[in-house]
Amino acid sequence: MPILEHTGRQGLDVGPGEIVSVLGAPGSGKTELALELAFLKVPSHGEVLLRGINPLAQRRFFQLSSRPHDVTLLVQNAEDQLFARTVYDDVAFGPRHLGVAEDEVERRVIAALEAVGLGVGVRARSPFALSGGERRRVALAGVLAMEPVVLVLDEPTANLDPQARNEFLRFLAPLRGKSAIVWLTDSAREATLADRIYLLQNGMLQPVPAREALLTDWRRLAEAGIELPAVFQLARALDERGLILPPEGTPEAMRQAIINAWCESHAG
Amino acid sequence: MLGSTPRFLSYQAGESILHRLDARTKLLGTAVVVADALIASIPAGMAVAYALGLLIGLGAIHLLPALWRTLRPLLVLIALFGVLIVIITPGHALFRVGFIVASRPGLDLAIQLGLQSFLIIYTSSLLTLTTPPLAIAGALDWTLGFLRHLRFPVQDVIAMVAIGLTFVPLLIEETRKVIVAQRARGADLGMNAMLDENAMAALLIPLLLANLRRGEELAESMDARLYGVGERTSLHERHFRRDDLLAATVLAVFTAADVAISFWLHP
Repeated sequence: MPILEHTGRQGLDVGPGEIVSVLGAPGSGKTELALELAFLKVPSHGEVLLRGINPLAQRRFFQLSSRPHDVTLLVQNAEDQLFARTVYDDVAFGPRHLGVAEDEVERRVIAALEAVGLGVGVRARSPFALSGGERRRVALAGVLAMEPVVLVLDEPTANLDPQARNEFLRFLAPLRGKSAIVWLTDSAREATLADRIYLLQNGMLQPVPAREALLTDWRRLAEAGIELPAVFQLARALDERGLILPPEGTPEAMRQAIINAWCESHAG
Repeated sequence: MLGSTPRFLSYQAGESILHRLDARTKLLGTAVVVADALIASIPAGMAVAYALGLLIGLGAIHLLPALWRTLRPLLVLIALFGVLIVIITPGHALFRVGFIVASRPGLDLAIQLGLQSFLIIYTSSLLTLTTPPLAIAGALDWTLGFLRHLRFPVQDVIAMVAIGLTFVPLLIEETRKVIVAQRARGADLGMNAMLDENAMAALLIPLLLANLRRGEELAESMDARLYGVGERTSLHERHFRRDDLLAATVLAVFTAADVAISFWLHP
């Protein structure tokens, strides 16, 4: 049974401990979907169910925040939302609001900061003394320390340095296998890291093949405005100029096909 | 993200009479209505000022329903202040509940101030709803231009006002974003958050920092595009037209009536 389920937008579900990626071009409605999944916005179509029930429907009169605290969202550019005096306090903000005991808070904060690759020395520093990339990691540590049942990430790697981008999956280590993760991204390469992938186009979701198989359907991704690895961009440009290429294939197969087609067209 | 109802203070493009009037007419007109509201000290004078306000509103009638929705919450605030004034003003007691005394002069004052502030907010909202911020700045520049001879940096102050007006909607958007982000982290930003300094810090510090950063970026980009070098000229030269004359006449007639009623008929 899925832990989180969206019944609108043609459907999305996440199982416990699963990483699901939502791949969408800029402007396809990722942020809105993220807010809906985190119970911060009521969806215009369908509803979002946590363990099969819609918590917002249980909302009582005069009770503003009935949103479930075990669903957490890392907003876009989350480094802009830090405010506490020290990095430690900022990461501890979430768990403290959950009512976690102070020694457990300490354990979680330390584990979270370690997971995102920030050393011991950073804890007592002001978040504003850090670089943008480091602040993003602090923000991520802040949601990791909440140990949510479902974590929604809205373009978590945007504006990060290439190394942090490549390592990002490792940052999520404390939650692996425990929390369900919904990762919204516009990068096809990042999406392939997930267990399952949905393509978001005009606000509608449709499941697409996961892992490397995602890229074999490159024409569909290109149509949806997704940025593809360079070899597919080349394939698309050649395709438009009349070079006949196979409709789908892995990056490696596509590279070979381009070479073959090129040689053929220049043989005579 | 952009809502369909106009937000307080933000410009809505349109083709109404108010839109077509010269920004200088509208700015000075707003000042005149504010003055009318302030000198209206008896009910008849207030009625004249409100009639003028209504007449101006007819000039952009399609905006009125939305404007009413935006201003409605303000009525609650005005009413609350009214109650406070009724209680704290000394004078002949109307009635008393325990040690709280409602006075007759207090009631009069509350009604007068309430009506005055609503009219002022309503009229200035109409100005900002129908006039682009840059046009308002241009009109301010024209109106306050004489201060230049006193070595007052009119241009810079006007630019600040214009930028301030332009950024109001953005500030509202920014506030929403921070609220969402902190709620996602488990912060409770309901009514009781007002009393929680930690929750207020979670809201205010990111907002303040975002604005400082934006200000700095804006200043840099203005410098990069040579803002302030040489004299500023206007792309759209403004000219008063017949509509503006008509508007000035209407304003003058109503103001004369208001002055006459409020000063000569005053008991």
